[in-house]
Amino acid sequence: MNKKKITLKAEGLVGGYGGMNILNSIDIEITQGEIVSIIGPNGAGKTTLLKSIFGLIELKKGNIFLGEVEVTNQSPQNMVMSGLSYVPQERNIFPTLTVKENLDMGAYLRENNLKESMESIFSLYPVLNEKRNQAAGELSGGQQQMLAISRGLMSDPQFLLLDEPTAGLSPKLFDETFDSILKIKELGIGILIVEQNAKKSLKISNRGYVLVAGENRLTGTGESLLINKEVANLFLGGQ
Amino acid sequence: MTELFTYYLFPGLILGSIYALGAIGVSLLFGILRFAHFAHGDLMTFGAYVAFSMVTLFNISPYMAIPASIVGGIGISILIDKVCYRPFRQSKTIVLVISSLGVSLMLRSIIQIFWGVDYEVYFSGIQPSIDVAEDFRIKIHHIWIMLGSFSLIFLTHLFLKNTKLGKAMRAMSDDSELALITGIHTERVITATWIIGGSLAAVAGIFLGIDTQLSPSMGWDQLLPLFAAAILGGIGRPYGAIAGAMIIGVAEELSSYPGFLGENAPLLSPAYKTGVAFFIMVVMLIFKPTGLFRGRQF
Repeated sequence: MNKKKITLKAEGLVGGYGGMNILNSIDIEITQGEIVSIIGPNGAGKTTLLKSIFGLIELKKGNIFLGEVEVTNQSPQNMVMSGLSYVPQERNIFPTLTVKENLDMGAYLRENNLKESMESIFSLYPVLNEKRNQAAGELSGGQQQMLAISRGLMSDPQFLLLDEPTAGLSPKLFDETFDSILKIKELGIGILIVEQNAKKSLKISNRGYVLVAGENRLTGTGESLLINKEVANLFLGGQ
Repeated sequence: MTELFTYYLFPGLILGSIYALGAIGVSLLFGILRFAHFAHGDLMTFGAYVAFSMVTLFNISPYMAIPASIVGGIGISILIDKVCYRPFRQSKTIVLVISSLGVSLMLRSIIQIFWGVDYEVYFSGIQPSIDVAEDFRIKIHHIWIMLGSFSLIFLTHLFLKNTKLGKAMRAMSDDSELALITGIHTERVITATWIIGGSLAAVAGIFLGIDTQLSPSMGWDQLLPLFAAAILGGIGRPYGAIAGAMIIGVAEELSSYPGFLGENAPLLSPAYKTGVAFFIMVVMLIFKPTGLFRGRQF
């Protein structure tokens, strides 16, 4: 626990699909043990940002540093090895594999201490322990989301990138999901969340970034963004 | 009744277990690489002829030639993948399908150049058999083929269920992008898939050669039943492929059983055997394209 906290830093990111740029110039940073929300309208480049940090989309410009080490345009595999984990919004579990096999796969690049990780996940989400031998595709939507996050945790990451973890969940499950994200934060993991549910997400965040058209529009603490007029008008329903 | 067992049901199961060895490969490859591998039958032929060379060169039984044939099958599969499929990993499926059709033609031609165009057999003469019951005889070879197929299928099952690589293979078959995100070495999984598919195809070729005879088109001729079995079981579902293969094998043989109509005319002329597999495939594609075990849609 005394280890120095590492910071993930992205500077001047430019990238997208083919010739089209979706990210025009984005800077963000997150330190271990922090929750950072990325909010913005549809098409602002939130998901693209996560994907390009994780090496799924090639960056044309910009740098990503993990502590002192540059990790720009690394393969997803190397990113997992360097301590990043990405949980996509959809198709984030292996449906025909059992719950336990899904977790095994999350730990694919690890050799040791799987038991410990699995136990801490089962204490976070006891229901997964009960259903460990069931096919993941048979779980309810909420349970699948828990499994997806757990799969991301099994690689023992320093940073977890979550793409809309509450999409399609009932309001009751929102709160459960955000509760568990707070618990994950306590493990010393930095959590970068992209969320539609901006209000709830900012409430539990240390800091937030507002993206518009692939650029940083606003940055601040979760609190300050919550009471910001512009943010309220743009994304929080104008109250 | 015994006639039904001796000449139709049991041979159907033998044929089914040979199909299963090929269909597992077709199904696994489709799940991982997302294309219908049209050269799979010719991999079977290649395996059968490698064994044929061993049999003629060293005067051994074809069963003893299985290891050499598996090595040959793995080698050619990995080589073909590197040269003909790997450059098209990001391309559209149709490109890979056409490429595999080209590979199929090349393999068959190579086999014709090296081994000739004539029919060959591993051994000639009367094949020994044992009497299980009155009028119910089983060829010794059929027992070996069945035991061999079932043990290989069981080994494949153990591999898929219990090893890290096997689980990764099923994971990639479920969702290859998520597999990449999870950190799974996708190219390694692809190689492992070719190793399994290539070995099983080689052995299927030998068994087919033992059961019937060798010819350069022997494997290509099995392509339809192989795909029918894979589709019937649910494409991308190796366990489904086994069930599908057994059903297709038995259905093909039973289609010419004369007992159904109460007179001594076969239900269908044996010449239409392949048509049965085709019929089942078409019916499945129309009414239940995901197959019996909920596989992927074509």
